[in-house]
Amino acid sequence: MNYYLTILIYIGINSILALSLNIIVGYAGQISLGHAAFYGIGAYSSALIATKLGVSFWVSLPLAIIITAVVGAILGLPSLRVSEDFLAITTIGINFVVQAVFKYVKFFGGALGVSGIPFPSIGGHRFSLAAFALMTAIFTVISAVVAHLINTSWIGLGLKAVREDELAASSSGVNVYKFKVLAFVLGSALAGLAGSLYAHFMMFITADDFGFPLSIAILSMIVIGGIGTVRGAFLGALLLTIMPELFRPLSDYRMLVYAILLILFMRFLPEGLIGDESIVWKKIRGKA
Amino acid sequence: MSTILEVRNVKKRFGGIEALKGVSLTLSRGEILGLIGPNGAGKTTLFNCIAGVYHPDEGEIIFKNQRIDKLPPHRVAKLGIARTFQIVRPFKTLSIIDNVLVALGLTNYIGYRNLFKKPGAKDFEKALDLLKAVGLDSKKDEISQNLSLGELRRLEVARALAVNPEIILLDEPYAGLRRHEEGRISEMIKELHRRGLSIIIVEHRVRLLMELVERVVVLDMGELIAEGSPDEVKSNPRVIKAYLGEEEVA
Repeated sequence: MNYYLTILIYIGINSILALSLNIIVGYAGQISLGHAAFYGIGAYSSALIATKLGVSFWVSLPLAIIITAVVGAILGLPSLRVSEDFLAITTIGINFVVQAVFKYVKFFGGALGVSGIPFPSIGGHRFSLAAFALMTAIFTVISAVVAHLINTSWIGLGLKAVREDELAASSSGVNVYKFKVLAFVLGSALAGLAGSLYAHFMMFITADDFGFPLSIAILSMIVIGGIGTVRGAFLGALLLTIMPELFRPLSDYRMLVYAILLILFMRFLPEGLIGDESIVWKKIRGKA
Repeated sequence: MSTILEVRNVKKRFGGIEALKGVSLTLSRGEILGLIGPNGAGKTTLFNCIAGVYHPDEGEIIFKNQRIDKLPPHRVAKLGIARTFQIVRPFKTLSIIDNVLVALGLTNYIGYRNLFKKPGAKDFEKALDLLKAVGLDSKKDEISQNLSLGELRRLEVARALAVNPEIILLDEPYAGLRRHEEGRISEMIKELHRRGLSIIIVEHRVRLLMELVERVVVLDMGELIAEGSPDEVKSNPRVIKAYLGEEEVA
């Protein structure tokens, strides 16, 4: 039972991560190959606030979200100067730098990471695993609602316009700079939420938890599920969380599998399994 | 007629190339002005300066008594200057109606209060009206990728109208179109004129502008070399010289 609850929690956290990257890459079209950095910033913020200041999860969580959003705005600034391939490389660099800072700066715990992160509790009662899973589910649903709201409101329209054509977007009244930074702020805030949940669930984190391979895994989730859609992010997170569990013996080759999947999907199913223009989704909508 | 837009001695350099060497022109309220010149004359550069994509190195651009030459494109659009592009730039994966909705949202993009509101029934109605005006209402749910070039040009006009402009800049609206589509674009431009819009059309063939405009300015190598009615301009020796080696003038 505990095993399944743990998997459920991972699915929830990964769903939030996929939804958050989807705002940056899917809606706004800003290629980010360093999303694990924001996840890590959320986790480290929450962990350090909780352990160093001795406050509870309920204080560290919102602070972690705010800190990650602010750092996201700053680290999103390169997207104003570089785009596409160059932005991809820049974000990879951000991932490595952030990870190195966590690993080698003593304040962040160095190679030993941060331990003793409190498990969430209410009124002195420590959460059960089921309670944590329920809480994660609630946060996942909230994230999905936020992502859906963004997707269907004026901000979503503006972000998508920026994704499709920056010059045409600005001629249509969209402030391209503002919308790019907003995408990074919103995406990072959700990644911060995921990071905080992860830190307080594991109670121990190290810099290696937030490396480049994880960034690729998150990107794989939204590509496989269907980039730019809420349901696609969910499906991708679900598949890529469960699959490694089912194929344990293959775990050494996980990165290889992700890479092959990414290439195959980009080449043959760029809309993912259930993206708006994918064959599967068109069939489902055709019947409905 | 009162002046709505004034370009004063605008200069723009790209590295060592002087694309605009001190261009001045005025546009009156409700006028259709033709801006012609051979390839590379600086027509699109001038458009980009007016629209805020480029900022002139020298000179001023004044729209309704306000300097706009240092404003970014989205602010210029908000003030009431819309444009289309020589090479069409639709939002490719968005539906036709969403393409227009994007521009209708421009007042909502300011500040943060309206960002998370959804487009309402009124907005959809407005977008549909604009699509009707350019004859694309039957294709509103199609992805813009699937449209023909002529349809995409009309979509660009609908999108430009969505910012509720007073001036519309049309950058080679006829480029690459077949004859019957050219006629359709001319009809549309006349309709814009009837609505009271001030229009500048970039085109390098004078023939197409004959029936539309009263006044044409000719740009060559970044300088204004002639101004007058289409007929006057056509017979101007400097204009003929500028076009020599080019294709037809008329």
